[in-house]
Amino acid sequence: MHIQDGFLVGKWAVAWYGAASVFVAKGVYDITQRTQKVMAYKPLLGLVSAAVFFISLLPIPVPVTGTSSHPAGTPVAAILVGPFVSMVLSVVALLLQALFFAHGGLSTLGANVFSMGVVGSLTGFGVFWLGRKAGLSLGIAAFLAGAFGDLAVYLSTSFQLALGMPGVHEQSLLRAFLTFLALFMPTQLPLALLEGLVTGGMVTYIAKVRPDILRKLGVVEDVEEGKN
Amino acid sequence: MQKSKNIYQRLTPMLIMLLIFMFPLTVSAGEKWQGTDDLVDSKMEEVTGVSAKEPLVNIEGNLGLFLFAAGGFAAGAVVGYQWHKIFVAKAGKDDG
Repeated sequence: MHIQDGFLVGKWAVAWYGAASVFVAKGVYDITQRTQKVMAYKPLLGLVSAAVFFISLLPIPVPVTGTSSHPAGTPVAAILVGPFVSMVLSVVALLLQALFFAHGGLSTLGANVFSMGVVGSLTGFGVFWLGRKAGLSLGIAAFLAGAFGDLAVYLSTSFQLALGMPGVHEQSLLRAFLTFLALFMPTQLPLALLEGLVTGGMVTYIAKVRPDILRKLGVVEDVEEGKN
Repeated sequence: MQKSKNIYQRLTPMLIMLLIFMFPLTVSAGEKWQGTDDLVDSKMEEVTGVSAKEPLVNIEGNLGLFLFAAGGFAAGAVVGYQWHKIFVAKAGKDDG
């Protein structure tokens, strides 16, 4: 999800900025609403934003491929603080990473926020919501949310790279998409499992220690509390 | 409840195996842990002939180590502080 400066043509760089900004604006609005409603929201936001920054910068080695890659962190953030707020956190994380850590770039920030923030958060939250509706336990639903959210981020990055490739080239969109996907997936599949485990573990832990926070944020229902 | 307990019991050995096999293999997997972002950069250069632009802060050598260590420390400090505030000091309380 760290597309470097220079890898997207201007119109696509601008388009991704525009697309991401709509979601991020809703996230900023949600933050103001939720901080008034839930007392523990601010410290939780601080915790989750630092965690998203750290998780999405951490290069985890995958021995099977001999390569390394980053988890996203946004699926767990989407479950805990809300999908749109999670997108705001991804802006902060990706901006710092582009400025000081040579990961990503400013012209590609919109695209990176869209893949990691928007797609990662919505997929993670959507899978979690569907899992709960299907009767899965909190831990399993969160595990699936983390794993699928992670993979969705890299699917969308591959699509963005294929769509915005600069210069004249003979590859079709589909072929370019599959080329980038093939580079990401062998490394990303084991990491998606790991991200699923971390997501499931974190949500389960919070449900045990501070169920009141999850209840007030609407992550668990009153009647479900204590069952998980 | 019983159903999810069974799923956990089935998943746990698989995940333990995955973790066990991940780390011993690091010895023979090669010297260089190239990031997938770098792989994409190389492929993009190969396909389009366009290279990535220089990052705003070009972190090379020990500057990179310093920034990553400082960033990790800062993030860890924030997570630890807030974690303690939410989950240790107020564990079991209902003041969300």
